[in-house]
Amino acid sequence: MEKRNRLKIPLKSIVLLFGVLFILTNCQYDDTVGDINGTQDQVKSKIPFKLKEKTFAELHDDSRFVGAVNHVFSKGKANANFNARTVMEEQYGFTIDSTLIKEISTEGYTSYTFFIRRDTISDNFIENLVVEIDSTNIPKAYIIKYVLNSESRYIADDKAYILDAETEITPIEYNNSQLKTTYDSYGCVITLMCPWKGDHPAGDACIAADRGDLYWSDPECPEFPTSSGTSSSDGGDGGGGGSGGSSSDGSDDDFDHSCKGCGDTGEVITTPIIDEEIQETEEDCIKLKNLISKSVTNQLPRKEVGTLLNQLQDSSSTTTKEMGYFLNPTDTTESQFIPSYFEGEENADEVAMDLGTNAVSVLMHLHYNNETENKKQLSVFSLQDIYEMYQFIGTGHIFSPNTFTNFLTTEHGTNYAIQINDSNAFVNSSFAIKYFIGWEFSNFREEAENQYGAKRYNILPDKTNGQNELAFTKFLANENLGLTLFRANDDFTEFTKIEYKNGTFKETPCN
Amino acid sequence: MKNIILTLIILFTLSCKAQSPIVNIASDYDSDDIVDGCYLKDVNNSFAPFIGTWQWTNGTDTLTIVFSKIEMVYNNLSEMYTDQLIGKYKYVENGVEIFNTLDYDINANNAWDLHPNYPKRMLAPMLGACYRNTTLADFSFMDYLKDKGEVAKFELLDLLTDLNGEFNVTQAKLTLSNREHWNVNGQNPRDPEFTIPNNITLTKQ
Repeated sequence: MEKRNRLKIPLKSIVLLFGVLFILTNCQYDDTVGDINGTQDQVKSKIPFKLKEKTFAELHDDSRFVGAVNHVFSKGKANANFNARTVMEEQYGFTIDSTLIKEISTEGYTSYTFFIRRDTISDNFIENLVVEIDSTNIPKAYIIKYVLNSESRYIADDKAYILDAETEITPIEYNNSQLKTTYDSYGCVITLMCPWKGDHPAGDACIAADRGDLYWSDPECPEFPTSSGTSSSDGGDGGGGGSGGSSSDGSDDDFDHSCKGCGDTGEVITTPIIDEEIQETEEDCIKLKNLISKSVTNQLPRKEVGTLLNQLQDSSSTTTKEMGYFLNPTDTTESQFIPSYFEGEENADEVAMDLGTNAVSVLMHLHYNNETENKKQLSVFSLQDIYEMYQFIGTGHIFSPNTFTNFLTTEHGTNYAIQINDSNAFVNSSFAIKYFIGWEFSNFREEAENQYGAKRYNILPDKTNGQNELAFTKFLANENLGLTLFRANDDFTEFTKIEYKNGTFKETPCN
Repeated sequence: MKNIILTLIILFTLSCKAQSPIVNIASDYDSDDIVDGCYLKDVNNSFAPFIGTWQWTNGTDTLTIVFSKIEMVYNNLSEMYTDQLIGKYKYVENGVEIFNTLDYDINANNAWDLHPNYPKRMLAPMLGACYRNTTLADFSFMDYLKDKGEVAKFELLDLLTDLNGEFNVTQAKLTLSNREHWNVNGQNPRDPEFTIPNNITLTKQ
């Protein structure tokens, strides 16, 4: 009897364990998205603040930003020409660059980080200005100086820069209603860090990757004694980077989710802006503007790239053919181009070009509208357009991926330019590897088109220009394609870089 | 021992996080809601009015389309499950059968397979769903004789649904359209026409 009883227990255990395994392998689905309007943003919810990259144009209607900036600098600074130098900037000998502003916000705390330019450029350090508003609602401003131990290094996976630097913090004394304001105390600089391929400030890509290894740059963050002048943090893992401090076991368990910088504890929470980040946009803009004014040969009267684009734009509302130009460089510096015109058959939705063995610097084509069939071509690049760029790289039909530009003008009234920012990222993106390799087979292309269109991104002919533009930037960002998108004005004389970054649609005008 | 087992069961059950959210295919969902392993499901049975036999007749020309529903079709590229509408068609011109796919046996396991006789085209002649909409379904359309895969839209023209979910529909419009296509150096020509008639109104049988 005793033996039988002993046997019963293990048997029950086995049955129960099988039950447990059954439960584990048969999890129920979550609540239905769409019925509850839920979103899948579990990773970001772990981070105790929101980090957004913005431009001055995006912030100048934000009353909190305007109030803080006007309070610190001078009345009107945030409302008018931000680039006009204020007395305070004169006093401290710097100019604030408004190209890129990083906003960190959480309940009861917001900081705005700007890049600072000095008249004398130094390769040894970079400086940021941080304006913060805590629960006291009195804005404070600091100059954060990152004294570089080595040159910054780019990490393509996370679209971020390693910044190995010592951090120094200087409070700004500003004149508010004739009252000299000084801070009784100020604390250390802390930054959310990511150790992937070298410690760097955590951006959207790192946070989204959810590797479970985020950490604070200065977890102890000792308060500094009350003093004036410049003080220094305790070493290399200050706000800008450095090393160490990572979770010991690589898991997220050790990560302190508490809200650093909140509760008036004297910590300045920021994430650095370095010159390279600003130059990226400026260089892209300069490259694009130069391109528009370059000459095309064999054209009388003399024409420029911009002239051809305007001709195409004029045709987009009247034609029922795909048409465009490809431009071959006349020399290795791509100083001018030989244009070749191409067009497809009427209503055939076909870009037909006799490219031969040419390697092109510029492509431009249009999307027409055929109302008779009650359909429209897209107001943004089609997935086929993106695939052809991939094909052109693979077949050697692009002169130089780094300088290649693909323009689009549409009957919808939209004008765009797309550049290959990172050709390796593009051709090796998981989207390209998944779908472009088997593009000629319908099961590959159809699911790719489904993802681009109705199933996921919703880029469709009957959507508004704004909806398609937003969806297209999301597509470029989420699929990490290494492509940079610009919106052009009506006559291709002004460009605005548009992107989806840190969960926000961002527009950066080319100045 | 029992307590340990019970505790384990409770812990494991609680730790059983759902991995595959269901997204209502006819809702206005966001691209962020689409994650690996998710299931675009016909939650409200919005496919039902499409299902059945539809016919267009013009003299001795006849187009017959039969729609059916297949649940949880997995695509290993997008790593998503989707409820799909499968459309099969037969076209008769001047009394002569031009193409007939009505006898194709398509299920959740082969819906994304390639056609044995048209190796670049899919076995499913029309594969799609009424994404974000209850009256309009988007399909991948296989035109085997033209050797191309394009887009078909099937729009219910007179759908009426009462409070009990009972519906009545008699007519729908079929619109075929070519995707933008690049033909570089003449290596990839495409006939812009379709084998079956386009921009037609079909009647439910």
